[in-house]
Amino acid sequence: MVSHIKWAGAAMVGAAALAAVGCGGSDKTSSASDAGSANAVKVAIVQPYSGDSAYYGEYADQAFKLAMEELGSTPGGHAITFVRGDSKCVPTAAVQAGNQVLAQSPVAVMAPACSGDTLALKPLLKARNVSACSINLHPEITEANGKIVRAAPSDAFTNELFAKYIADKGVKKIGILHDTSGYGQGNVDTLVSSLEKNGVKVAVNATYDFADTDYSGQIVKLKKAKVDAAYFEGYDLAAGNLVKQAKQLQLDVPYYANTNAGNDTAEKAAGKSLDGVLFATAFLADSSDATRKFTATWQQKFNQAPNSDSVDLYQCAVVILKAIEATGKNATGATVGEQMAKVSAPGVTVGTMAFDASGDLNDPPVLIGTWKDGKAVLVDRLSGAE
Amino acid sequence: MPATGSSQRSEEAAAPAAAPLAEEHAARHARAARRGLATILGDRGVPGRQRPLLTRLIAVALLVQVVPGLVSGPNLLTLNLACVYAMAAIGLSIVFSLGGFVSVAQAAVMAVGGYILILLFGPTVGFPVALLLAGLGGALVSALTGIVGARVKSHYFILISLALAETIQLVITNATSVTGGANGVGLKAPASVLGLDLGLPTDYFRFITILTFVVIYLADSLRASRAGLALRAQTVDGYLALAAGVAIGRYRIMATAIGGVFAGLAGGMVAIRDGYLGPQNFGLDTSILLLLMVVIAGTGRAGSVVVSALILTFLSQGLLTLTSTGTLIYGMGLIVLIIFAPEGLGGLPRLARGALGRLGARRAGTASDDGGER
Amino acid sequence: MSTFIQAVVAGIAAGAVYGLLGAGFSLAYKTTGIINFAHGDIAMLGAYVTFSVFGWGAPLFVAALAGVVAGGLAGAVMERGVLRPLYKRPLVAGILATVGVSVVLQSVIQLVWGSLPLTLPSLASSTPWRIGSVAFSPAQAVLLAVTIIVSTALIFAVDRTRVGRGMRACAQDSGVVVLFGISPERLYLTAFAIAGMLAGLAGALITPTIGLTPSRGVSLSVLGFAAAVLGGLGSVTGAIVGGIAIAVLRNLASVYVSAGYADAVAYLAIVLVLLVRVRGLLGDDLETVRSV
Repeated sequence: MVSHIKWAGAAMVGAAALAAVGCGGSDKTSSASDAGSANAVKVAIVQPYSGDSAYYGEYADQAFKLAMEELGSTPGGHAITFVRGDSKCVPTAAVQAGNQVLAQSPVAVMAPACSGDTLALKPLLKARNVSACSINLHPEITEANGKIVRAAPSDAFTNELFAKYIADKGVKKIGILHDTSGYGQGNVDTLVSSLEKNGVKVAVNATYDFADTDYSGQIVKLKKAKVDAAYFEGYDLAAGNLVKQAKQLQLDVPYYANTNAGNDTAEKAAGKSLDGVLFATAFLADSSDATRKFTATWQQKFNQAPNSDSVDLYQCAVVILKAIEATGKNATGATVGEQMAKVSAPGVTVGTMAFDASGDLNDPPVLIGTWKDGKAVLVDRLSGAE
Repeated sequence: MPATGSSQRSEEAAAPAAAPLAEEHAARHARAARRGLATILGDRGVPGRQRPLLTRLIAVALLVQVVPGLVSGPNLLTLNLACVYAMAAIGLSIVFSLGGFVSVAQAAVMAVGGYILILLFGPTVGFPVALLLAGLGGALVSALTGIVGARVKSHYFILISLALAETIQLVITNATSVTGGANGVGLKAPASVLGLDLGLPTDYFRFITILTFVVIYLADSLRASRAGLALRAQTVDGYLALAAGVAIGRYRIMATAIGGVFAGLAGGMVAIRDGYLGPQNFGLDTSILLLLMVVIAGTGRAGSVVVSALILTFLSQGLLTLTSTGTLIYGMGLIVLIIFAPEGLGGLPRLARGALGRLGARRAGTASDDGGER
Repeated sequence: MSTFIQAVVAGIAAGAVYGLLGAGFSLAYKTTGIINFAHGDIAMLGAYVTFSVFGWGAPLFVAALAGVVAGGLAGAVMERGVLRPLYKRPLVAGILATVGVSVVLQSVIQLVWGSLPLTLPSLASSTPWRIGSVAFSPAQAVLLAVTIIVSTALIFAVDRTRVGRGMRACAQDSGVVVLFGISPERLYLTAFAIAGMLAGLAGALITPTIGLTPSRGVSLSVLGFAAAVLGGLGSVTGAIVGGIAIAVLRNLASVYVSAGYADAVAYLAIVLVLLVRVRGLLGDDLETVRSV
């Protein structure tokens, strides 16, 4: 019992200490903003900072770090303070976090990496008249005169081309497995309608849950339907796990996949099983001079390979910094937003980032990649200049 | 109604015994059992005194007037969320401390209410009607657990409530054409009631405060009512309560239904607060958070549930969860609180007094023990 | 027909791990009456330790053993540090304390290993054998073999050894075992240590299929709990049977009913079993009279 009390006592002291540090931290930020000059602006980063998707928050911070090193840390003479909100990849948490950071009047927002979070944030951005840069692939993120620009191609665009590519490969009957996340749903909806337009029959369109520990039931279902191709949608690990398990259960048909199958995590999970799987993506490390250079810099700086998410987040950081730079003295949510919409900035996956009227990338990149000997390689370029 | 129910029950029990002696014997037993129950309940001192309605009304009026001026921005939003959780947690405390069920389905019941409101509310169905239907939907779903749960024991009930919760989640994520799936669904029209524009955090606070007080009042009234007495009796000793002619099963189902009403209302208010609903709002973690609010409140009194809801909401939503260190502290805090505050927040003052008393005694002890064996 | 057999075979291999999780769950419950919602997180801890030790260059088999040891330690520490003061308190206090432990373990994992998903290779090749038109891989065979060996040893230990008999006696009346010179506290510790080891083993076995993410433990806890309840809380054999039944049921439901609602079908089946047979499939008579 005594040891017990000691243990708990230590925990309490620790908790108190950390709470104190936490409060101190928040005091500091507020005093910094009070003392800030007229030139200081705030940029909000709403990302998952805790939970299983916390790495997105890490990517976002790294993206800004790298972008500020390359473009200067005071664009247009504005010192930048970051306000962070933890969206946890949970839409309610995103709304809560969004409200908290927007109450501090940031001039721009880095939208969360999970599509559902950003969709939930959309009304808030409108109400506060602040623009955000998003990397979400869900088709409904952008809209005419919306408050969001997107530094990645919409799945509606990607999948239209990918569906045609799949049809051209002679696929007549395909089976689809996807997760029930907002992203997975949007991705597969656009893919299914495009496939059907191209005369490919979707024989199975089955879901799995994030929490699932086994996909054999779904895969056996594809086998039963005697499909002649399979499409697997999944976040990093699942993208690899699905392919691996499908190979194990001898689903011997060509596999197609979403962009996440091109990430290192997927390769780590599936290993050689991923060889020959064709995935549509906006980013491949070894596809152009710009991507090669970026990959080398990121790898050297953060000691990890970049993936399509970190690249797109970096592109968003660039868009936001460039827009603040172009705004001049009077930087508010409205003025920076205007500049974001008409920005023209150097990109990684595209030569120059510029957005159309609804906030989507002009000439968005769509690449087909596959794995070969542990490396993601370019198979075909369906859209976007090098 | 409960009165006739119970007397019928004792008559039934006595009927087979034709001999008058046996009848009297049975009646005496029932009386003794009731007395026993009264003693047990007296020991717990649960009925407690209810604050007069007038005091409550004044308190609400004050809160509604003063708080929106003092609290603003993100804190007001968190406060609003805390009120929502408080309503659901009061509902859960009825299921738990009166019904005797450990349920992990309360967030799922909220989901039912929330989706009913967000799907129905629009130009044709007004806000008050939609909110009432949300409460009703919550009641029906929650009563389902009670009906099944009355047949199994507590550990198994947890699994049954888990099964219900997961099934509701599955329906929401898979029925995409109705619910929007994981992408969620937005509110079709701005809600207003009693001249309050619920899109504004301040007006929302005014309305949810009034609603929370109504819920507190109803919960306390239930606790003090005859049904409440019967329920408390069965949680203290189910067999004794049965012997006293309390229709345990029916009352327990009623408790889950009433708990469900409050959760349904709370779910509806989540939809209004965010203008948006997704299945992730109502996962297992939310259910567990609500259960923590109830257990940490300790006494089962609606007022203390509100206090613990406030504390836990701010803890879980605030600074602490921004990092994994924050989550670590949150988890440790929970463990420490559960171990060292056996009666929950309600027991904390007494615990503190006890500790201070011991400390004083030890000082006094060491002073006098100076030349002692130690 | 071959579809049916394939679904069942794959289900048995997947369910073996759920069964191991359920067995640990059941064992801890049997002795202490506590439902451990940190069980899955202990499994993840074991898996992460396996990952690290494997990363340091140890053979996978040795790394998995390290994971098992880590799981056992975590279980023991949890019993001593958190649960011991709670045995005399209502059921819900113990359960919520384990929830607290689960939160702590998840954040510790995230602090130590980060949130980026990690992976482990499987103990044996995943290139399948083809038996007729049914695929079955060496990895699945190893998984099944380990489950059979470990659960047989466990059942033997619970039935035949002094400690095992003590555990069963303890479930009935912890006061009486004292009279036979057995300390209930030591039994509780042993039970949680063994349960933790089983969890660590399950974690090391399941990660090649699902990979490592910090909060994956929650779904493992839920699976273990469901397996244990279906099989009859307190019965090790029951938990294994329950775990396999759940996985097979889920597979059949996703093939023949709907992949999206497969879990719902499994839960419905569990609830129906409980309504017909309160003690679960293989729960002992003790379970029907045990007051909790």
